[in-house]
Amino acid sequence: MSEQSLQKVIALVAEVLNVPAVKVNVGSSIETLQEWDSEAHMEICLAFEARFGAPLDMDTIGEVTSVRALADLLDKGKG
Amino acid sequence: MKTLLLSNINMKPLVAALRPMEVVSGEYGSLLLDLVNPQSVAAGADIDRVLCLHDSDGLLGDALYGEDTPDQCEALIAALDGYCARQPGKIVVSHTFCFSSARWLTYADPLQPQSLRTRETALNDRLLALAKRTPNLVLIDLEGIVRRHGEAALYSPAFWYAGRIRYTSLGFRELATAVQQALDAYGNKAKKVLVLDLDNTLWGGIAGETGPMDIALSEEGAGRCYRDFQRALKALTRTGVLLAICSKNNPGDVDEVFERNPMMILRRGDFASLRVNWEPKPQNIADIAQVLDLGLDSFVFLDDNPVERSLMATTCPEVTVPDFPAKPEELPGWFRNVIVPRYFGKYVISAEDRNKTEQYRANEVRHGLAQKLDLDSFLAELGIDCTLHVNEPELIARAAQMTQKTNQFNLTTRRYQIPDVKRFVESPDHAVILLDYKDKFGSEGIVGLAILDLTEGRFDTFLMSCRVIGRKVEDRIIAKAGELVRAHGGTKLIGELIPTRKNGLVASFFEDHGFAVVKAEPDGHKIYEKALA
Repeated sequence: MSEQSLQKVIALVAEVLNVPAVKVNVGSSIETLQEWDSEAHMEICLAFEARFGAPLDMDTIGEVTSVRALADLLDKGKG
Repeated sequence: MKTLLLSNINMKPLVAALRPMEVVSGEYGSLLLDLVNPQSVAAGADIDRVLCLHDSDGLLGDALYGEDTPDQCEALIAALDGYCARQPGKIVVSHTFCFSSARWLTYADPLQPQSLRTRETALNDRLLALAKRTPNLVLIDLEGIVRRHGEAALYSPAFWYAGRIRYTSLGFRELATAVQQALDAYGNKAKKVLVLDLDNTLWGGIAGETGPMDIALSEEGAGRCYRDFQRALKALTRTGVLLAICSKNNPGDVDEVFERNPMMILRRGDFASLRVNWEPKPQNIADIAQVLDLGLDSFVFLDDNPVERSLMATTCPEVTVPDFPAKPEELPGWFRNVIVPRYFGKYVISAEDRNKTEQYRANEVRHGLAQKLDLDSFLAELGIDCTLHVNEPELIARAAQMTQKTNQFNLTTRRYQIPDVKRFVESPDHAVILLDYKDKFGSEGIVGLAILDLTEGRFDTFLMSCRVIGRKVEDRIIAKAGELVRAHGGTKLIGELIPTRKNGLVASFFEDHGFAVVKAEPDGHKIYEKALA
């Protein structure tokens, strides 16, 4: 997971959840952040798709429930 | 202003797409319940607008697959009907039914009694009929959006099965744009004048160089792009938008195009004003604004030349200056799909709108006559013939439109929506007076409005279209108001002036008509009285 992708994902997650970016870090996930519930997760995935142009399939939407997983996915999309 | 979003699926991402509009989302799937339950969040006094954006397939349920099971589509129409009637002060936005294009009967579908296509058409006919008789229901044509972008681009199976989200981010964006534009159209926020360049805008090439017959304007290739653009412009004039020309050219060269080129769809008479000269365009557009008596903030300027656009945008920042497509083939579609809905969206088109250009052109002829005569003989020459309508339900939309659009001859500048005017019309203690103007040059249509509180004898609203200013027809409204107030047991009329940046024209209106000031606030707000004889 690259630092660049990590920062992009943190910015995106903070924006969608409407929380300060400092509240989101590499360890944040649907388990740790109160604002990141199942509805918010769909919005994060929609925003991810729109911003990075990477279509997500149904299984992936179910898997990328953490900042780390999203950043890894972003790296993979680039590779 | 607070907006509530209701659906039978997960539409939460639309809340972000609609920003800065303040939208709260109802409970998941609560659409029908919230509409019919008089105690629901949708009945709350803090809610001004309700967006009912349903998923048609979801409402149809198993009937989508040919099962003979009851569906909820009829229930939605009934729920919208009931809710709009119970909450006349709230604006409800919904859209047409649009089932997925997949048909379980495949090619037999249109011919079968269980046809989904037929069912969709029948439901939409009923929904449209409801919208026509329901002033606070605003309907969006969802099928139109789907036709333009396609299901593959708008709908996401991955998000649907992962989390009951039907639309892609493009889908949410398009839906948000449609909601915003429909609300703007409903609120009469449209621009009034479209000013056009000629060379490489209304036709291809430069008329002064090629001559009137060799410009690109035909039924083939690039020429057809410009001809289709002209067709779309012609259609726009039928919705009440005025066209004007602002072109750097020799007037003779342009005259020849209008007179000789048979491919021109637009004739001289389609333009309310023409400025063909070598003066700077910002100066010309200011002249046009003055002749038409309209503010520059209601103008849109289209020109293929980026230098002219930039000069206009910096010199006249009130004028809207969109970019111009780089290729002629993009011009007609760009104009129809982007420019018209964005700047010239209409929800109601009145009889006045259909003839607006003629009315403004007739005004120029009247101006000419006025210069030759003194005012009273001029007015006598005009053969003015006015009709007054009181509480006419057919004219509610026009009355609301006038309160939204009139700035100069407007004593109180109170803006009303259709449901507000409907309340005045139906109230026994109010009268809505409309003035229909005609003279020997033609009909101006409904150009004057007064909303009168009969109990107090007070003019809540008094406004006239700028087109008839100076023809003394406002006297007839005051006389009618006096008659109505007397019949209601009143002995005086009360006038009110709320000064704005734009209504200086009427600063002494009530004084000029024999009213006396009874109260004057430091901010210029005044109350007047006049005893009824």
